[in-house]
Amino acid sequence: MGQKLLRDLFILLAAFGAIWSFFYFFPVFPDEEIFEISIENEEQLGELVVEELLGNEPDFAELNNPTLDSALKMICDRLLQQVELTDYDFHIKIVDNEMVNAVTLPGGHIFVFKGLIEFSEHPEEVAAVLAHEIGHVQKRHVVKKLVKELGLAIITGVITGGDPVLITEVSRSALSTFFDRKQESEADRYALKLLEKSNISPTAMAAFFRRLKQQNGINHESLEILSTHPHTNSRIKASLEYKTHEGFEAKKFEFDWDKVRDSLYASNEFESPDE
Amino acid sequence: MEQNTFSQQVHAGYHSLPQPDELTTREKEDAMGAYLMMFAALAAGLPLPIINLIAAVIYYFVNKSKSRFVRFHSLHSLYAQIPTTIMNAALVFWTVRNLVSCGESFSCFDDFYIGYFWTVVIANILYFVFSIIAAVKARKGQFYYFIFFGKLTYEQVYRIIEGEGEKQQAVNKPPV
Repeated sequence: MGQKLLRDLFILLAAFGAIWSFFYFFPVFPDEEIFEISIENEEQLGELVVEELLGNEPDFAELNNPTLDSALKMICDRLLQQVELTDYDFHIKIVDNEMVNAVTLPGGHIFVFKGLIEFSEHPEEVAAVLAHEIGHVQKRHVVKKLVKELGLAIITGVITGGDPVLITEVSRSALSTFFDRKQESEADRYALKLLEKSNISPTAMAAFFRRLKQQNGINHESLEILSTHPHTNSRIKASLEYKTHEGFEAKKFEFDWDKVRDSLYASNEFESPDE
Repeated sequence: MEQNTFSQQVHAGYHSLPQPDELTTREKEDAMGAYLMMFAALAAGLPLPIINLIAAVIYYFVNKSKSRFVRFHSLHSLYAQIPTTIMNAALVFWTVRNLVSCGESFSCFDDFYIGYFWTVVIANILYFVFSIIAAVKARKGQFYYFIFFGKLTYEQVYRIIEGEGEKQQAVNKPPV
Protein backbone atom coordinates (compact mmCIF):
# COMPACT_ATOMS: atom_id res chain seq x y z
CA MET A 1 0.00 0.00 0.00
CA GLY A 2 2.85 2.33 0.90
CA GLN A 3 4.43 1.98 -2.56
CA LYS A 4 1.09 2.53 -4.28
CA LEU A 5 0.57 5.68 -2.25
CA LEU A 6 3.97 6.99 -3.26
CA ARG A 7 3.26 6.12 -6.90
CA ASP A 8 -0.05 8.02 -6.76
CA LEU A 9 1.60 11.00 -5.10
CA PHE A 10 4.26 11.02 -7.80
CA ILE A 11 1.57 10.91 -10.51
CA LEU A 12 -0.23 13.87 -8.92
CA LEU A 13 2.93 15.96 -8.62
CA ALA A 14 3.97 15.08 -12.17
CA ALA A 15 0.52 16.06 -13.50
CA PHE A 16 0.73 19.36 -11.59
CA GLY A 17 4.17 20.11 -13.05
CA ALA A 18 3.13 19.04 -16.55
CA ILE A 19 0.01 21.24 -16.59
CA TRP A 20 1.92 24.26 -15.27
CA SER A 21 4.72 23.75 -17.80
CA PHE A 22 2.22 23.31 -20.63
CA PHE A 23 0.49 26.61 -19.90
CA TYR A 24 3.84 28.32 -19.37
CA PHE A 25 5.17 27.32 -22.77
CA PHE A 26 1.80 27.50 -24.57
CA PRO A 27 0.02 30.45 -22.94
CA VAL A 28 -3.75 30.55 -23.21
CA PHE A 29 -3.49 34.24 -23.97
CA PRO A 30 -1.16 34.03 -26.96
CA ASP A 31 0.32 37.12 -28.50
CA GLU A 32 -2.02 36.93 -31.48
CA GLU A 33 -3.17 40.51 -31.03
CA ILE A 34 0.35 41.62 -31.72
CA PHE A 35 0.05 40.50 -35.32
CA GLU A 36 -2.73 42.99 -35.83
CA ILE A 37 -0.10 45.72 -35.47
CA SER A 38 2.05 45.65 -38.59
CA ILE A 39 5.73 46.60 -38.57
CA GLU A 40 4.84 49.77 -40.49
CA ASN A 41 2.30 50.74 -37.80
CA GLU A 42 4.81 49.95 -35.08
CA GLU A 43 7.37 52.19 -36.79
CA GLN A 44 4.75 54.93 -37.00
CA LEU A 45 4.07 54.50 -33.28
CA GLY A 46 7.80 54.56 -32.58
CA GLU A 47 8.22 57.87 -34.40
CA LEU A 48 5.37 59.42 -32.40
CA VAL A 49 6.83 58.17 -29.12
CA VAL A 50 10.36 59.36 -29.95
CA GLU A 51 9.03 62.76 -31.04
CA GLU A 52 7.09 63.02 -27.77
CA LEU A 53 10.02 62.01 -25.58
CA LEU A 54 12.64 64.17 -27.28
CA GLY A 55 10.28 67.12 -27.61
CA ASN A 56 8.45 67.18 -24.33
CA GLU A 57 10.31 65.15 -21.73
CA PRO A 58 13.12 67.16 -20.11
CA ASP A 59 15.11 64.01 -19.23
CA PHE A 60 15.34 62.93 -22.85
CA ALA A 61 17.30 65.62 -24.66
CA GLU A 62 19.28 64.14 -27.54
CA LEU A 63 23.02 64.33 -27.02
CA ASN A 64 25.02 65.45 -30.04
CA ASN A 65 28.61 64.45 -29.72
CA PRO A 66 30.39 63.56 -32.97
CA THR A 67 33.10 61.47 -31.24
CA LEU A 68 30.55 59.44 -29.35
CA ASP A 69 28.23 59.19 -32.36
CA SER A 70 31.00 57.80 -34.48
CA ALA A 71 32.02 55.25 -31.82
CA LEU A 72 28.44 54.17 -31.29
CA LYS A 73 27.98 53.83 -35.04
CA MET A 74 30.93 51.44 -35.21
CA ILE A 75 29.49 49.33 -32.39
CA CYS A 76 26.02 49.29 -33.94
CA ASP A 77 27.33 48.49 -37.43
CA ARG A 78 29.26 45.51 -36.09
CA LEU A 79 26.14 44.17 -34.38
CA LEU A 80 23.58 45.02 -37.03
CA GLN A 81 25.63 43.38 -39.80
CA GLN A 82 24.99 40.09 -38.01
CA VAL A 83 21.26 40.62 -37.44
CA GLU A 84 19.55 38.30 -39.86
CA LEU A 85 16.15 38.82 -41.43
CA THR A 86 15.10 41.98 -39.69
CA ASP A 87 12.02 43.98 -40.63
CA TYR A 88 13.24 47.00 -38.71
CA ASP A 89 15.36 50.01 -39.47
CA PHE A 90 17.24 50.54 -36.25
CA HIS A 91 17.54 54.08 -34.88
CA ILE A 92 19.92 54.34 -31.96
CA LYS A 93 20.22 57.65 -30.13
CA ILE A 94 22.15 58.86 -27.10
CA VAL A 95 20.16 60.88 -24.60
CA ASP A 96 21.55 63.28 -22.04
CA ASN A 97 20.51 61.39 -18.94
CA GLU A 98 22.71 60.30 -16.04
CA MET A 99 20.87 57.00 -15.51
CA VAL A 100 22.84 53.84 -16.29
CA ASN A 101 20.24 52.53 -18.68
CA ALA A 102 19.11 51.89 -22.23
CA VAL A 103 15.51 51.60 -23.40
CA THR A 104 13.87 49.97 -26.36
CA LEU A 105 10.98 51.85 -27.93
CA PRO A 106 8.56 50.69 -30.63
CA GLY A 107 9.69 50.50 -34.25
CA GLY A 108 13.38 49.75 -33.70
CA HIS A 109 14.21 52.89 -31.72
CA ILE A 110 16.75 52.46 -28.93
CA PHE A 111 17.82 55.16 -26.49
CA VAL A 112 21.22 54.76 -24.86
CA PHE A 113 21.61 56.94 -21.78
CA LYS A 114 24.72 59.04 -21.24
CA GLY A 115 25.11 57.43 -17.79
CA LEU A 116 25.55 54.05 -19.46
CA ILE A 117 28.39 55.34 -21.65
CA GLU A 118 30.12 56.87 -18.62
CA PHE A 119 29.70 53.68 -16.63
CA SER A 120 30.96 51.27 -19.30
CA GLU A 121 34.70 50.64 -19.11
CA HIS A 122 34.88 49.01 -22.53
CA PRO A 123 32.91 49.45 -25.76
CA GLU A 124 32.13 45.71 -25.60
CA GLU A 125 29.95 46.38 -22.55
CA VAL A 126 27.92 48.94 -24.49
CA ALA A 127 27.69 46.40 -27.31
CA ALA A 128 26.35 43.80 -24.87
CA VAL A 129 23.61 46.12 -23.66
CA LEU A 130 22.77 47.14 -27.23
CA ALA A 131 22.61 43.49 -28.33
CA HIS A 132 20.13 42.87 -25.52
CA GLU A 133 17.98 45.81 -26.64
CA ILE A 134 18.17 44.65 -30.27
CA GLY A 135 16.85 41.31 -28.98
CA HIS A 136 13.82 43.09 -27.50
CA VAL A 137 13.21 44.82 -30.84
CA GLN A 138 13.54 41.64 -32.89
CA LYS A 139 11.18 39.70 -30.62
CA ARG A 140 8.66 42.59 -30.67
CA HIS A 141 8.63 42.74 -26.87
CA VAL A 142 7.81 46.46 -26.68
CA VAL A 143 4.58 46.26 -28.65
CA LYS A 144 3.59 43.08 -26.80
CA LYS A 145 4.17 44.89 -23.53
CA LEU A 146 2.18 47.96 -24.62
CA VAL A 147 -0.73 45.92 -26.00
CA LYS A 148 -0.83 43.88 -22.80
CA GLU A 149 -0.80 46.94 -20.60
CA LEU A 150 -2.88 49.48 -22.50
CA GLY A 151 -4.92 47.28 -24.83
CA LEU A 152 -4.98 47.00 -28.59
CA ALA A 153 -7.63 49.71 -28.97
CA ILE A 154 -5.47 52.42 -27.38
CA ILE A 155 -2.39 51.45 -29.38
CA THR A 156 -4.25 51.45 -32.71
CA GLY A 157 -6.00 54.66 -31.60
CA VAL A 158 -2.64 56.37 -31.14
CA ILE A 159 -1.39 55.16 -34.51
CA THR A 160 -4.48 56.22 -36.41
CA GLY A 161 -5.54 59.29 -34.43
CA GLY A 162 -2.36 60.64 -32.91
CA ASP A 163 -4.17 62.00 -29.83
CA PRO A 164 -1.47 63.92 -27.86
CA VAL A 165 -2.75 62.74 -24.46
CA LEU A 166 -2.67 59.13 -25.55
CA ILE A 167 0.78 59.55 -27.09
CA THR A 168 2.08 60.87 -23.76
CA GLU A 169 0.46 57.94 -21.98
CA VAL A 170 1.92 55.39 -24.40
CA SER A 171 5.37 57.02 -24.22
CA ARG A 172 5.40 56.88 -20.44
CA SER A 173 4.21 53.28 -20.46
CA ALA A 174 6.92 52.37 -22.96
CA LEU A 175 9.50 53.76 -20.54
CA SER A 176 8.10 52.74 -17.19
CA THR A 177 6.93 49.17 -17.53
CA PHE A 178 9.16 46.15 -17.25
CA PHE A 179 9.60 43.23 -19.54
CA ASP A 180 8.73 39.95 -17.90
CA ARG A 181 11.31 37.33 -16.95
CA LYS A 182 10.67 35.24 -20.05
CA GLN A 183 11.21 38.24 -22.35
CA GLU A 184 14.39 39.27 -20.50
CA SER A 185 15.79 35.76 -20.81
CA GLU A 186 14.82 35.65 -24.49
CA ALA A 187 16.57 38.98 -25.14
CA ASP A 188 19.63 37.76 -23.21
CA ARG A 189 19.90 34.57 -25.24
CA TYR A 190 19.54 36.58 -28.43
CA ALA A 191 22.20 39.04 -27.24
CA LEU A 192 24.74 36.34 -26.38
CA LYS A 193 24.36 34.76 -29.82
CA LEU A 194 24.57 38.14 -31.54
CA LEU A 195 27.71 39.07 -29.60
CA GLU A 196 29.34 35.79 -30.59
CA LYS A 197 28.46 36.28 -34.28
CA SER A 198 29.81 39.83 -34.09
CA ASN A 199 33.13 38.59 -32.67
CA ILE A 200 32.51 40.29 -29.34
CA SER A 201 33.11 38.27 -26.20
CA PRO A 202 29.77 37.36 -24.56
CA THR A 203 31.49 37.68 -21.17
CA ALA A 204 31.28 41.46 -21.65
CA MET A 205 27.70 41.17 -20.48
CA ALA A 206 28.81 39.44 -17.26
CA ALA A 207 31.50 42.05 -16.66
CA PHE A 208 28.99 44.85 -17.09
CA PHE A 209 26.40 43.37 -14.75
CA ARG A 210 28.92 42.32 -12.14
CA ARG A 211 30.28 45.85 -11.88
CA LEU A 212 26.77 47.24 -11.91
CA LYS A 213 25.87 44.95 -9.02
CA GLN A 214 28.95 45.99 -7.06
CA GLN A 215 28.11 49.65 -7.57
CA ASN A 216 24.49 49.10 -6.62
CA GLY A 217 25.05 49.97 -2.96
CA ILE A 218 27.07 53.06 -3.79
CA ASN A 219 24.90 54.85 -6.29
CA HIS A 220 21.59 53.09 -6.26
CA GLU A 221 19.31 55.73 -7.74
CA SER A 222 21.11 56.10 -11.05
CA LEU A 223 21.31 52.36 -11.71
CA GLU A 224 17.90 52.13 -13.28
CA ILE A 225 18.91 49.17 -15.42
CA LEU A 226 19.23 46.94 -12.34
CA SER A 227 15.72 47.61 -11.11
CA THR A 228 14.24 46.86 -14.50
CA HIS A 229 16.35 43.76 -15.02
CA PRO A 230 15.96 41.38 -12.10
CA HIS A 231 17.91 38.19 -11.42
CA THR A 232 21.32 39.70 -12.09
CA ASN A 233 23.16 36.70 -10.67
CA SER A 234 21.56 34.25 -13.08
CA ARG A 235 22.28 36.59 -15.99
CA ILE A 236 25.94 36.84 -15.02
CA LYS A 237 26.08 33.05 -14.76
CA ALA A 238 24.38 32.55 -18.14
CA SER A 239 26.82 34.95 -19.77
CA LEU A 240 29.87 33.27 -18.25
CA GLU A 241 28.63 29.79 -19.10
CA TYR A 242 27.76 30.63 -22.71
CA LYS A 243 29.82 28.39 -24.97
CA THR A 244 31.17 30.04 -28.06
CA HIS A 245 31.90 27.98 -31.16
CA GLU A 246 35.32 26.48 -31.73
CA GLY A 247 37.80 28.95 -33.14
CA PHE A 248 35.89 31.96 -31.78
CA GLU A 249 38.13 34.97 -31.55
CA ALA A 250 37.01 38.23 -30.00
CA LYS A 251 37.98 41.31 -31.98
CA LYS A 252 38.43 44.47 -29.99
CA PHE A 253 37.09 47.78 -31.26
CA GLU A 254 39.79 49.92 -32.76
CA PHE A 255 38.85 53.26 -31.29
CA ASP A 256 40.08 54.57 -27.95
CA TRP A 257 37.13 54.21 -25.54
CA ASP A 258 38.70 56.49 -22.93
CA LYS A 259 38.83 59.29 -25.47
CA VAL A 260 35.21 58.67 -26.34
CA ARG A 261 34.21 58.94 -22.71
CA ASP A 262 36.42 61.99 -22.21
CA SER A 263 34.56 63.68 -25.03
CA LEU A 264 31.45 63.59 -22.82
CA TYR A 265 33.17 65.63 -20.14
CA ALA A 266 34.71 67.92 -22.76
CA SER A 267 31.29 68.75 -24.12
CA ASN A 268 30.06 69.40 -20.57
CA GLU A 269 32.93 71.82 -19.96
CA PHE A 270 32.16 73.55 -23.23
CA GLU A 271 28.55 74.00 -22.19
CA SER A 272 29.23 75.11 -18.65
CA PRO A 273 30.13 78.83 -19.33
CA ASP A 274 26.67 79.36 -20.77
CA GLU A 275 24.95 78.12 -17.64
CA MET B 1 -9.80 7.91 -10.05
CA GLU B 2 -10.54 4.32 -9.14
CA GLN B 3 -14.03 3.00 -8.62
CA ASN B 4 -14.91 0.34 -6.12
CA THR B 5 -16.14 -2.83 -7.80
CA PHE B 6 -18.04 -4.22 -4.80
CA SER B 7 -16.27 -7.50 -5.22
CA GLN B 8 -16.60 -8.32 -1.54
CA GLN B 9 -12.87 -8.33 -1.26
CA VAL B 10 -11.56 -7.91 2.22
CA HIS B 11 -7.90 -7.10 2.65
CA ALA B 12 -6.18 -8.94 5.43
CA GLY B 13 -5.65 -6.55 8.31
CA TYR B 14 -8.48 -4.24 7.24
CA HIS B 15 -12.07 -3.93 8.37
CA SER B 16 -14.59 -5.24 5.85
CA LEU B 17 -16.34 -2.65 3.73
CA PRO B 18 -20.05 -2.15 4.30
CA GLN B 19 -22.29 -2.82 1.29
CA PRO B 20 -24.96 -0.29 0.19
CA ASP B 21 -27.87 -2.25 1.65
CA GLU B 22 -26.16 -2.46 5.03
CA LEU B 23 -26.04 1.33 5.43
CA THR B 24 -28.80 3.55 6.82
CA THR B 25 -30.14 6.51 4.86
CA ARG B 26 -28.75 8.85 7.52
CA GLU B 27 -25.22 7.45 7.05
CA LYS B 28 -25.47 7.88 3.28
CA GLU B 29 -26.68 11.48 3.63
CA ASP B 30 -23.96 12.37 6.12
CA ALA B 31 -21.34 10.89 3.78
CA MET B 32 -22.74 12.87 0.84
CA GLY B 33 -22.81 16.02 2.97
CA ALA B 34 -19.05 15.80 3.47
CA TYR B 35 -18.57 16.69 -0.22
CA LEU B 36 -21.51 19.03 -0.76
CA MET B 37 -20.86 21.08 2.36
CA MET B 38 -17.42 21.98 0.97
CA PHE B 39 -18.86 23.86 -1.99
CA ALA B 40 -20.85 26.16 0.29
CA ALA B 41 -17.79 26.64 2.50
CA LEU B 42 -15.59 27.22 -0.55
CA ALA B 43 -17.91 29.95 -1.86
CA ALA B 44 -18.13 31.53 1.59
CA GLY B 45 -14.38 31.25 2.04
CA LEU B 46 -13.44 33.24 -1.03
CA PRO B 47 -11.18 35.25 -1.16
CA LEU B 48 -9.66 33.44 1.83
CA PRO B 49 -9.76 29.85 0.60
CA ILE B 50 -8.54 28.52 3.95
CA ILE B 51 -12.06 28.74 5.45
CA ASN B 52 -13.34 25.67 3.60
CA LEU B 53 -10.48 23.66 5.06
CA ILE B 54 -11.51 24.70 8.57
CA ALA B 55 -15.10 23.71 7.75
CA ALA B 56 -13.89 20.32 6.51
CA VAL B 57 -11.94 19.70 9.72
CA ILE B 58 -14.99 20.57 11.83
CA TYR B 59 -17.23 18.34 9.70
CA TYR B 60 -14.80 15.46 10.08
CA PHE B 61 -14.56 15.73 13.86
CA VAL B 62 -18.34 16.05 14.25
CA ASN B 63 -19.04 13.00 12.06
CA LYS B 64 -16.09 10.69 12.58
CA SER B 65 -17.71 8.75 15.43
CA LYS B 66 -20.93 8.05 13.49
CA SER B 67 -19.70 5.12 11.37
CA ARG B 68 -16.65 4.08 9.39
CA PHE B 69 -18.48 4.81 6.14
CA VAL B 70 -19.25 8.43 7.16
CA ARG B 71 -15.78 8.81 8.65
CA PHE B 72 -14.21 7.58 5.41
CA HIS B 73 -16.05 10.10 3.22
CA SER B 74 -15.51 12.99 5.66
CA LEU B 75 -11.76 12.35 5.80
CA HIS B 76 -11.62 11.67 2.05
CA SER B 77 -13.25 15.02 1.33
CA LEU B 78 -10.95 16.76 3.84
CA TYR B 79 -7.76 15.31 2.33
CA ALA B 80 -8.85 15.92 -1.24
CA GLN B 81 -9.31 19.62 -0.72
CA ILE B 82 -5.95 20.25 0.96
CA PRO B 83 -4.01 20.60 -2.33
CA THR B 84 -6.63 22.80 -4.02
CA THR B 85 -6.86 24.96 -0.90
CA ILE B 86 -3.09 25.44 -0.81
CA MET B 87 -3.03 26.17 -4.55
CA ASN B 88 -5.90 28.66 -4.25
CA ALA B 89 -4.29 30.39 -1.28
CA ALA B 90 -0.97 30.64 -3.15
CA LEU B 91 -2.76 32.12 -6.17
CA VAL B 92 -4.50 34.75 -4.02
CA PHE B 93 -1.20 35.60 -2.33
CA TRP B 94 0.67 35.79 -5.66
CA THR B 95 -2.04 37.95 -7.25
CA VAL B 96 -2.10 40.41 -4.35
CA ARG B 97 1.69 40.55 -4.30
CA ASN B 98 1.77 41.30 -8.03
CA LEU B 99 -0.86 44.00 -7.70
CA VAL B 100 1.01 45.63 -4.82
CA SER B 101 4.47 45.44 -6.38
CA CYS B 102 3.53 46.44 -9.92
CA GLY B 103 0.70 48.89 -9.25
CA GLU B 104 -1.25 49.67 -12.37
CA SER B 105 1.18 47.79 -14.55
CA PHE B 106 0.24 44.22 -15.39
CA SER B 107 3.75 43.24 -16.39
CA CYS B 108 4.16 41.15 -13.19
CA PHE B 109 1.50 38.81 -14.49
CA ASP B 110 3.95 36.95 -16.68
CA ASP B 111 3.58 33.56 -18.37
CA PHE B 112 4.85 31.87 -15.22
CA TYR B 113 1.93 33.32 -13.28
CA ILE B 114 -0.58 32.71 -16.08
CA GLY B 115 0.57 29.07 -16.32
CA TYR B 116 -0.03 28.68 -12.59
CA PHE B 117 -3.40 30.41 -12.84
CA TRP B 118 -4.67 27.90 -15.41
CA THR B 119 -3.23 24.99 -13.42
CA VAL B 120 -5.26 26.15 -10.41
CA VAL B 121 -8.38 26.55 -12.57
CA ILE B 122 -8.00 22.98 -13.87
CA ALA B 123 -7.31 21.62 -10.37
CA ASN B 124 -10.49 23.28 -9.07
CA ILE B 125 -12.59 21.97 -11.96
CA LEU B 126 -11.25 18.44 -11.39
CA TYR B 127 -11.88 18.74 -7.66
CA PHE B 128 -15.42 19.98 -8.31
CA VAL B 129 -16.30 17.25 -10.85
CA PHE B 130 -14.86 14.36 -8.83
CA SER B 131 -16.41 15.65 -5.61
CA ILE B 132 -19.85 15.65 -7.27
CA ILE B 133 -19.26 12.06 -8.44
CA ALA B 134 -18.10 11.08 -4.94
CA ALA B 135 -21.16 12.76 -3.38
CA VAL B 136 -23.52 10.85 -5.69
CA LYS B 137 -21.73 7.56 -4.96
CA ALA B 138 -21.82 8.26 -1.22
CA ARG B 139 -25.58 8.93 -1.40
CA LYS B 140 -25.96 5.50 -3.01
CA GLY B 141 -23.91 3.93 -0.22
CA GLN B 142 -20.91 3.31 -2.45
CA PHE B 143 -17.21 4.05 -2.15
CA TYR B 144 -15.24 6.24 -4.52
CA TYR B 145 -11.48 6.57 -4.34
CA PHE B 146 -9.64 9.67 -5.51
CA ILE B 147 -6.12 9.04 -6.68
CA PHE B 148 -3.73 8.99 -3.69
CA PHE B 149 -6.28 10.42 -1.22
CA GLY B 150 -8.62 7.43 -1.60
CA LYS B 151 -5.90 4.95 -0.65
CA LEU B 152 -4.62 7.19 2.14
CA THR B 153 -8.09 7.54 3.67
CA TYR B 154 -8.85 3.81 3.31
CA GLU B 155 -5.57 3.07 5.05
CA GLN B 156 -6.42 5.33 7.95
CA VAL B 157 -10.07 4.43 8.40
CA TYR B 158 -10.24 0.73 7.57
CA ARG B 159 -6.88 -0.58 8.72
CA ILE B 160 -7.22 -2.71 11.85
CA ILE B 161 -5.05 -1.30 14.59
CA GLU B 162 -4.16 -3.61 17.47
CA GLY B 163 -5.76 -2.57 20.72
CA GLU B 164 -8.24 -0.38 18.85
CA GLY B 165 -11.51 0.02 20.73
CA GLU B 166 -10.19 -1.38 23.96
CA LYS B 167 -10.21 2.00 25.61
CA GLN B 168 -13.92 2.43 24.95
CA GLN B 169 -14.77 -0.83 26.76
CA ALA B 170 -15.61 0.33 30.27
CA VAL B 171 -15.71 -2.42 32.84
CA ASN B 172 -18.44 -2.17 35.48
CA LYS B 173 -17.34 -3.27 38.93
CA PRO B 174 -19.29 -3.74 42.19
CA PRO B 175 -18.65 -1.27 45.03
CA VAL B 176 -15.55 -2.00 47.04
